[in-house]
This record gives sequence, structure tokens and C-alpha cells, in this order.
Amino acid sequence: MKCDILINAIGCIDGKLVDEAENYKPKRKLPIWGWAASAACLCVVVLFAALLVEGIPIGRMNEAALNICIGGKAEHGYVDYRARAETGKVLITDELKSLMEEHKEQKPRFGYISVYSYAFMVRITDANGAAVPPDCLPSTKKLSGEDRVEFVQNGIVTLSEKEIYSVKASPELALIISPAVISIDEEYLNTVGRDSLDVWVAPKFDEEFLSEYEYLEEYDHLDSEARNELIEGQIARFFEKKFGDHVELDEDFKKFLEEYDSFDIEVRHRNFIKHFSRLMYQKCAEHGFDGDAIRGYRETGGHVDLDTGFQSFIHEERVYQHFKKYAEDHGIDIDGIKEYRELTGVFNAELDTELIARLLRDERTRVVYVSGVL
Amino acid sequence: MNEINGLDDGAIIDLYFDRDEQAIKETSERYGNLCFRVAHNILGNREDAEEVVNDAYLAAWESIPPAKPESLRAFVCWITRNHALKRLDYNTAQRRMPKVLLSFAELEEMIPDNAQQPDISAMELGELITKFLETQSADARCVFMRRYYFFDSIYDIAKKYSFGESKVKTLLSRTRKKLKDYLNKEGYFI
Repeated sequence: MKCDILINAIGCIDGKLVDEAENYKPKRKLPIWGWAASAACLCVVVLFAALLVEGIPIGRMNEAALNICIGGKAEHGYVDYRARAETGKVLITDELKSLMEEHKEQKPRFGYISVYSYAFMVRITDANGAAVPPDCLPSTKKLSGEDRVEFVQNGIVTLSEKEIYSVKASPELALIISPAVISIDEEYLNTVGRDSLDVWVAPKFDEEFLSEYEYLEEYDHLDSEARNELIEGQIARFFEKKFGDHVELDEDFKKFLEEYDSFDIEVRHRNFIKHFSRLMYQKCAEHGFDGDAIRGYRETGGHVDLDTGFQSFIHEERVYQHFKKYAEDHGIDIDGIKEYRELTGVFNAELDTELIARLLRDERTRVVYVSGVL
Repeated sequence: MNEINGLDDGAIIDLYFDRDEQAIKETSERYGNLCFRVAHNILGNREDAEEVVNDAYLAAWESIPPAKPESLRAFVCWITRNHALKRLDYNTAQRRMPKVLLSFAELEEMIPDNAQQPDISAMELGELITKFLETQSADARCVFMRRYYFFDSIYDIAKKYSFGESKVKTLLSRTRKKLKDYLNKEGYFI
């Protein structure tokens, strides 16, 4: 047999590896307190990350505005990886340790990975939070020959409610994902470098908040577009084709599909932003912001840079409200922290440490951010 | 030194040196299940596996002394494995095809069809593989060992280590590729 030499050679492997394999117990999750302590020591910026994390609608907005393609093929802008989640699972990491070690000289290729709290997508940005052009991704090589990046409960923190999948995750993506959930213990820190790891946490959205964005799902877009543009019979066939079983297409319908594809990007994105804008406007009104002013600001142009400022404004205020409520519930002086931040212009790590610890202990906290400088 | 219950490895090896047949009983009590599992993984047949394990005990009895293994577990596993593989050759010739051939097929992927038999002994190649595995993560190393040394099934490995089966497959696939690259770099199987 061709592999005889290997079979026999493996039989000659050092006995200590045999013993190790028989006795080996993979690392289990750190107690949340232990993790919290480690994370707290490493935290440099907290709420800034929280701002990023909570930017699901912003991410979606960018997805619309910047011509995002799922799977790393966008011509510019962010590269988003769709993901979905399942209760009690977090990203697998131990298997990627060796990969991380291999790539540790390539720092910092990507700065941040954003795993949104309910795991719609994974985003790679550079160290400044700017988009990483897809051509900076060295390859689209699949992690394991499968489209699925496997996640297991390793116990650092519950990342999301469902198991996360990532489409065509490259090794680099996996590399970035890895530290987000890896066991952060002394050994690990000594491996990757104590100064090179920032851990951020962000609170979970509540279901009520999330439910407001449900209608932004792709199906609803398709549904609204289709209902506006198609006659009833075509709708049925369209959805059969799009979501269901095989259907016979007549020439008209084929032509429609071609047209739909052509207008799909522009129209869908425009509607996407329209819906989002309305939602944000409502949200502003609920929280006492000057929605008209915001809208006026936004309507001065559709430029991305302009939108970025708007997003940041909305985002920060919304996160602030979220944290304020949390702080009130837990007796944290969030106003004092905010005041300090405004005074210094930075997010002070020492002040945040206590909050981080509290957040980490809270069941609602389930997103961990780690900058990818290995 | 390994010690679970009863005598530790050192004491059992002393029994071998004293030519005390209690050594075989102790070996059987400590490592009988493990040896049987290895043999059964390879042969897929209970009767054959039991025979092979008994042969392995006899071989251990005849080998110690002069051999004085550092790890009795690894030693008896090694003997069992070799006996089982020999029996497998026989069984394969008789067209009795156990599941272990799946493991072989995975390893064969590492070797090109036109590869020359390397000018290296199994022992030397084993040392190279040991060196390679020592550079891998513990997860990858142990999964590799369980698959290709003990010939455990993917399911059993996943269960033992509380991994998902796809994680096990991923680790194996990646480790095989790295090992192939490593061996190629060392001039083998290019």
C-alpha cells in the first residue's frame, strides 16, 4: 500500500505523543470571572468598540451604499461576511492557534473584526476602522474546504444566540476571528504579546430593538420591490424561482429577471437607505433628538463621508442611551464617564474597566472585540 | 510516570524484568481496553482484535527485557498496532475491508502517485513526524495521533475531545497538508 511507509512511521512516533493523545483534554472555557479579569487588563477602549458593535444598521447601510458583495468580492468598501447564529455557541479558535502563529509576522493586516451582536455579518476593517478593500485579502481560500467556519462553545463568552457561519472565510478572516474567542490566559498572552491585544465588549441588543430592523431583511426588500414592479403572476414565479422549487420561465419572465438584476442594486440600495433613514428619524424622535436637523444634514448630500458623520452621531447617541439605561439599572455613573470622555476626548480605559467587568458578568453581554494585531 | 490504579508503569516493567507473569495481567488491566480499541479500530473485528491483543501481550513479554520502555502505554500500543496492521494485510488480501482503510486513504492523499519510496527508515521518518507534530497545536497533534496512530473514527475523536466532527476533519486536513509540506521540504514524497 502506498501509505505503508507513513503508517509505519506514525507507529514510530515518540511515545510521549501517544500518552498525550490518550490523556489530552482540550482547554475548556474560562470562568467568566477569569475571563473578565483578563479582558479588563487588556482593555484600552471599550465604548468606542461598543459603538462599532452596535452599528448593525450602519453596517447594513454601508452594505447598501458601498456596493457590498458577500463573500469578499466587492470592488470597494467593506467586506462583509454573512453569518448567522445559534444559542450558546462561540467561534472555534484552538484549531487556529497554529495559523495565528504562522501569520503573526504579518501584522497588522486587518485591524478589527466586527462580529455583530446577533451575527448578521462579520466585517473586516483596518486598524483605523476604515474599510479593508477586498484586494487586500490575499485569497479567498476556504478555511477548511467548507463554506462553514465551525464554532464551538469554548466558553469565553457567549458570542451570539446562534452558531455563527461565515461564508468562504479566508485563513486571514479566521485569523482575526480567532483571538476574538480564544482563551485569554497567561500562556496565550505570552504567545501573542501582551501589548498587542485589545479586547472590547459591547452589550447585547434587546429583542425589541432588534425587531425594529427585521423588515430590512432581504426578503422584505424583494417582496416590496416585486410587488411594486410585477404583476401578480410574475410575483409568484419570481418567488418560486428565488426561494423555492424549480419553475418554468417564460421569455417575459427571463427578461424581467435580467432587468431586475440590473435595477436591483440601485433600487434596493436606495430603498434600503430610505427605510433606514425613516427608522432613524423615528428613533431620533423617540429619544428627543432633532430629527429634522439630522435629516436636513443628511439631505445635503448622499456622500458617504457625510453619511459617516451622521451615522456616528446617531450611533453614539443611541449607544449612550443604551448604556445610560444599563448604568441606571446597575448603579454606574454613566454620566460621569461620559463627561470625562467629553472632557478628555478619549475613551478612558480605567473608567471603562469597571463597566466592562459589569458587562462581562451580565448575561446580556455576548460580543467580544479583539483587535487583530497579533 | 503513569499511574492510574494499582501498579504504576515502572512497577509493571519491574515485574516484566522479574519475569513475573503478573506483569501481563497488570498490563491487561491498565491498557487492555486501549489495546483492544486500537486493534479493533484497525481490524474492525472483535475476534481478530482480541487475538491481536493477546499476541501483543506475548510480544511485550518477550521484548521486556531487554527493552525498557519509557512509556508502557505507548509501547504496548505500538506492539498492538503493528500486530494489527500485519493482520490487516492478511485480512485485506482476503478482501475483508475494515473502516481503517479510510484512514489509510486520507494518508495516501499526501503521497503523489509517482512518488519514490523514500530513502529513509520508518523510524527516522517517525522522528521527523514527531518533530513536526511538536510544532503543532495540542488539538491538532492529539487529533492527528488519535486518527492515524490509534485509528479512531472521526466520530470517536470528536466525542472524546468534545469537538464537532467538522472540526476534527478540519484539523486533520490542515495537519495532513502541513505535514505534506513539511515532508516535501525535507525532501520526501515530492
